[in-house]
Amino acid sequence: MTTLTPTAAAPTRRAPVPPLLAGLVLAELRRLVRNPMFAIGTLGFPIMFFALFGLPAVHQTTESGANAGQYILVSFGTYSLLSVAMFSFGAAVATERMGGWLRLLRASPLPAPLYLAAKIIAALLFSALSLSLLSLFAHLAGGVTFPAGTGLLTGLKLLLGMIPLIALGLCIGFLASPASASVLANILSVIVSFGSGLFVPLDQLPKFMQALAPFLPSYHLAQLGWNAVSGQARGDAVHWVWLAGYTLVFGLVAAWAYRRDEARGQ
Amino acid sequence: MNGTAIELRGVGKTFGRVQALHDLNLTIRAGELTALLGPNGAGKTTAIGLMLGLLQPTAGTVRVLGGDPREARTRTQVGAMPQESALPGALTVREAVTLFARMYPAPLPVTEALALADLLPLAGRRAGALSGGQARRLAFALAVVGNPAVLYLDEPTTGMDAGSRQAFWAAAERMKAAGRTILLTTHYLEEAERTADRVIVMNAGHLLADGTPESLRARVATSRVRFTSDLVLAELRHLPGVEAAGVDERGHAALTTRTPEALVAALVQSGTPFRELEVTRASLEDAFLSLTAQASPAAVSA
Repeated sequence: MTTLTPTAAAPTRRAPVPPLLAGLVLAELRRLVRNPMFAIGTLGFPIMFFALFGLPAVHQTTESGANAGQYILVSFGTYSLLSVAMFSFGAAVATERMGGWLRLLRASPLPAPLYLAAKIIAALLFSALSLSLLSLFAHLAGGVTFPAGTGLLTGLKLLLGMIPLIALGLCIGFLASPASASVLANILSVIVSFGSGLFVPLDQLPKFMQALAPFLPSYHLAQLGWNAVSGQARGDAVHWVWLAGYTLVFGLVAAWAYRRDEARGQ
Repeated sequence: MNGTAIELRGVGKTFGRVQALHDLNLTIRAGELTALLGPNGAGKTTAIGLMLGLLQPTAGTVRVLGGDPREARTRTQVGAMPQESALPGALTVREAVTLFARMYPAPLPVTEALALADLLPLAGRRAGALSGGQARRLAFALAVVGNPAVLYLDEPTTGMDAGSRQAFWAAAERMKAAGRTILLTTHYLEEAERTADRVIVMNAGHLLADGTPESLRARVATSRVRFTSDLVLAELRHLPGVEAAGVDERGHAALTTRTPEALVAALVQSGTPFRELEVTRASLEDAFLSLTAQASPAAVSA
């Protein structure tokens, strides 16, 4: 170590961003993978639910003649994205916030947008893994196949449309305590998935739930996925607008809650 | 070397109806180890929160290294070890330190930071599996790995065992020798007395005293004389120069005096048998206690 003269003109240099971002994403992925409850909840449950509720119906065809297997795979894929968003952003952020880790990061030179970007990238990577595993399982156990192009397009649409779910997770993370955040994450991911027609087709749900479904973000996300599977993109615009609106609303609430924490010095 | 590292000018901070800091003026010189002392609720952590830019002052200005503490330019030169150990439990010690190193433009080598915090044998362990004292050392490693010019350590040795404490103070000495400015809060006054260049005492959001450990001790000119004898309280009080006296049922006497030499001489001349004689100069702790005790009634009425 050398002797410094700290009062000399402060260097304006900042740490280079790419290695820092890579380090943050890696740390985030390690955190996700090393937490067995998270891995089971977000990788295991969608596969288990698919096996229980989806698998028996994969060889049927829908009334419109489409392949039910692909349709069901999209449903449970959407559910897995919802649970990744709820757990990695809802429960995890609440824990980091209350434990003081976020406070330590605030005092560090780490810019807040980079922290957020790393979390989003890691969640998208993890979601891609979750979708891949689910697809692999559906293929091996139920013989569900996709033309490569369709499969890729469906996956990309689902990942992009997942952004408002991430924003919702952030809202929970910044508003709820760690204990209530994980309960909320559980309840939301199951109830909202059910209400969006992910577990049981919408037309088999009670009338009031059918009426409620179009107000849920995961309903629109699933619609985009189902459209991608059936190769039609005509109705997509409406769903994208809904999802963008949700991103804005949840994003603003999360930003407000973040500032509230900051003002408290937490 | 003796420029100003941190400057607080007329700083006030209120939380709702609670006034945590009152018109605080403070200049921390560069390259010094300054200990910030005070009872709980004195405003130490609030003061550090302001210097870290985590809190906004209600009044006054806070400058760190000549800049706003909330600017990224300032933050790259500052390291902090907060009071609560907030660590990423899923990462290993080395991973966490490596992550923090990447936030700074000119960090220390990770291995060096680990060695400084005496963590090399634990580098592969998950942060979540560390003991309380080990977690404090990891927090210290995270604070120093960025090679900051200014280090804030809030209660750094709380929860550390004797060995960890010794290693910590050795590391703090090394950081100081390398020209770093260190501001720390502690409850262990004997540690502050040994290592601090300067001591600042706060109470109820006010600055009570500011000086070297020696100058603070000198404010309390009294010494303590302890011994065991058959003398009763009234007899003890009659010894020359006694300002306060106490004795328990087993004859352990504790006297306060400004003239310990005369007191001991009188005791010897009196011919009373006594044993376990102990004469101690006022410690920083005595100075601290007398300062905060004097201030408390005033602070309550203020």
